[in-house]
Amino acid sequence: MGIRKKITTGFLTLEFLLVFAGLVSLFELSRLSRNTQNVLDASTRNMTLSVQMLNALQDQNTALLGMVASGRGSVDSLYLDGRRRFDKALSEATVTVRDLTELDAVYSARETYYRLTDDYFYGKGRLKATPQWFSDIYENAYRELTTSVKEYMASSQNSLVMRASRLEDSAYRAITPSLISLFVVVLIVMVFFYMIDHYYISPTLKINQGLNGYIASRLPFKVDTELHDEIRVLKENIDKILVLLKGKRSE
Amino acid sequence: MRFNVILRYVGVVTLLNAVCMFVSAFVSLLSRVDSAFYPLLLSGLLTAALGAFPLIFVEKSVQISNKEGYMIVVGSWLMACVVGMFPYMMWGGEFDVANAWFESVSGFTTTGATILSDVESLPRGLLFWRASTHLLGGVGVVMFALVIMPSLGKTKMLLTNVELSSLAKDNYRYQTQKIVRILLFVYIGMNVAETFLLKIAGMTWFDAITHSFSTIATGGFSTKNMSVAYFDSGWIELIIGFFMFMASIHLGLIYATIVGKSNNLFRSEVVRYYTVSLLVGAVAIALSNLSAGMYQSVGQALRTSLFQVLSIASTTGFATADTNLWTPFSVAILLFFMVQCGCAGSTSGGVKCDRILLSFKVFVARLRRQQHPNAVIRIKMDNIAQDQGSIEFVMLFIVAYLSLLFVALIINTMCGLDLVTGFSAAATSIGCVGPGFGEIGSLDNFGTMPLAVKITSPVFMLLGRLEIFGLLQLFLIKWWR
Repeated sequence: MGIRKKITTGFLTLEFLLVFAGLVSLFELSRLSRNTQNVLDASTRNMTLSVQMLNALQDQNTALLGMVASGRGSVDSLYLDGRRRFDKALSEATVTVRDLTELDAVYSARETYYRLTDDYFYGKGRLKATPQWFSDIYENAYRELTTSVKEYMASSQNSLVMRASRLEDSAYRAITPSLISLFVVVLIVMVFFYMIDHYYISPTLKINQGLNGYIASRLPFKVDTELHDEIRVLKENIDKILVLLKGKRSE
Repeated sequence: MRFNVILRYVGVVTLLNAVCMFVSAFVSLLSRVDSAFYPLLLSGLLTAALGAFPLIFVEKSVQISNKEGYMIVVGSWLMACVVGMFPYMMWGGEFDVANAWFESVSGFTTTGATILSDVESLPRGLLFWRASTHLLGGVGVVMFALVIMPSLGKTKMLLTNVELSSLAKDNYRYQTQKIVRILLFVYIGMNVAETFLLKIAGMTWFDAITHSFSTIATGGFSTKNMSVAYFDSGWIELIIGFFMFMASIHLGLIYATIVGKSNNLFRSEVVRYYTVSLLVGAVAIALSNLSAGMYQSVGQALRTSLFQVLSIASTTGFATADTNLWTPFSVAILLFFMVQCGCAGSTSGGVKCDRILLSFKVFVARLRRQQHPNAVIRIKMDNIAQDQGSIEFVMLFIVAYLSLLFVALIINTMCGLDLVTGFSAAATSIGCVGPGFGEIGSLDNFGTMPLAVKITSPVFMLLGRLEIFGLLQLFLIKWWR
């Protein structure tokens, strides 16, 4: 392999490694970015759905309190709207949640709450709908359901915190391949520098030194180093030229 | 010293590491592209680039000087340990820089100590890479490369001298070029035999291969958190125990026994001493543990004590029992084996039986000379008289080894380790054993050790693996001129 090919291969290797390092970091960082965005989206979604559920519950509660206080038995539209909104938010949460067990308590509390309110509207419970019933029985079920929604919100946020902390590890993974690639590039640059100096720069300087000695003081042309490739051919050609010059001068 | 030539041959050895990374990546691919695939593939590519680069410029060189030979071997070891960190660091998990450095050096030097608290959480590709570092380091990273460097001729011995124990080459009695082939023949042969036997005994192919790599290299990395105890099989313990013993005796003698030469295992004084010392040690430990009421039956006590003695003495480090729970007498005996270790010419580390036996003979000769000042007393090993130079070197090595042990102990205790943990960490690192006592018992790990211990212990492992003087040469300024 000649000088041109060797140097070109050296630079191509370095170029390849730098591109490689860049591509790896680009790939890993975009993945990290995607994961971070997912965590943020999940956090926002969780908060929104939890707030929607709590608002819907509060509306149901207000409507029911009004109904009990006024003694009305027909189903209030505010109550029905609240119930619809609560169910919608819960089913959305069910679709998006990573761990379904986080919603187990909400489902269980909702069953108790609906059983109680359905009993009030459509069953025998209607007769028992007194302020006493509201404060002793209904309030407990309502509190249990709102607490379970709040717990869902807290547990989801906790699991998101755990996911976010895992992102720290992902960040480490994202930069490590690039750092290692750059470390390898640094090592190769050092070896490359040494090789160029050893095989091309030093011999060229020594040939120049030898020629200077010959031109200035007619010292014998000697290059005291190991020569390779075209540099060796160059030295041999200079030797031949000097022999020819010597021959011409003696003629 | 010609650095270009050194770089070329270090590059060849580095390429060999890259090949092993690609093989591990292939294992990862077979395991449904587990999480180690990309780290191994990327590491393999980077290592291949690093190894191949010097080959572009430097032509083959048949003549290599003594200094260059040392530098090639030491450089290859250091480079192997550095590139060996890449897959661990890229994979992440418990591996930060210090942990990856520890795990890589521990693998290549066949120490087998780990920083991992949960080995089983590692993907198969990475477990295979861990075992591969044992395979490469067991017989020596350069030894493998010598097979693909046939042009070196006489230089081969120069390179093998640094990796082989200084005593080992005397025992080979073969031509220089043949030693490499014999070593690899026995080494690979034992790996294949053990793999098949472990498979028959009930292991999966993956576990059988990785445990064979660990056993024959006398490393100790297992794929299970509970090490060999996980399998709870007498047959598996028997097979691993047998191969731990075989791997810790002179590989050349095993070859001589196979081909029917006269200087075989059964005639070797060192092997006799090693075998007897193991048996006496195992029986003494079993009796001590029995008397302390740790085991219900003699058979169970003997089975665990023999396995642990073999594991520690051969410097493998597998575990079937928590030796931290054993009596102080048993621990003391295991500490002795941790320093003595196996025979020269094997894959084990430590002072080695040959040197212990020779130093004992020197001691006896000295006593005799005091009684008979004019007597001419020759010190012989296997009926071969030892010259004064060899004896002096052996004694010097033991002194250097013990001094290093105390330096490591001082560093470890300075880092806050208690005396038992500090001493066993020092002995286990320099002897390339693996487990220690105290916080680093047979079923524990180095994960909780201070950062300074995780960085310095691998240096002691390398010093022990290259028999102290090999690595120390690097630090002598005159050497570089």
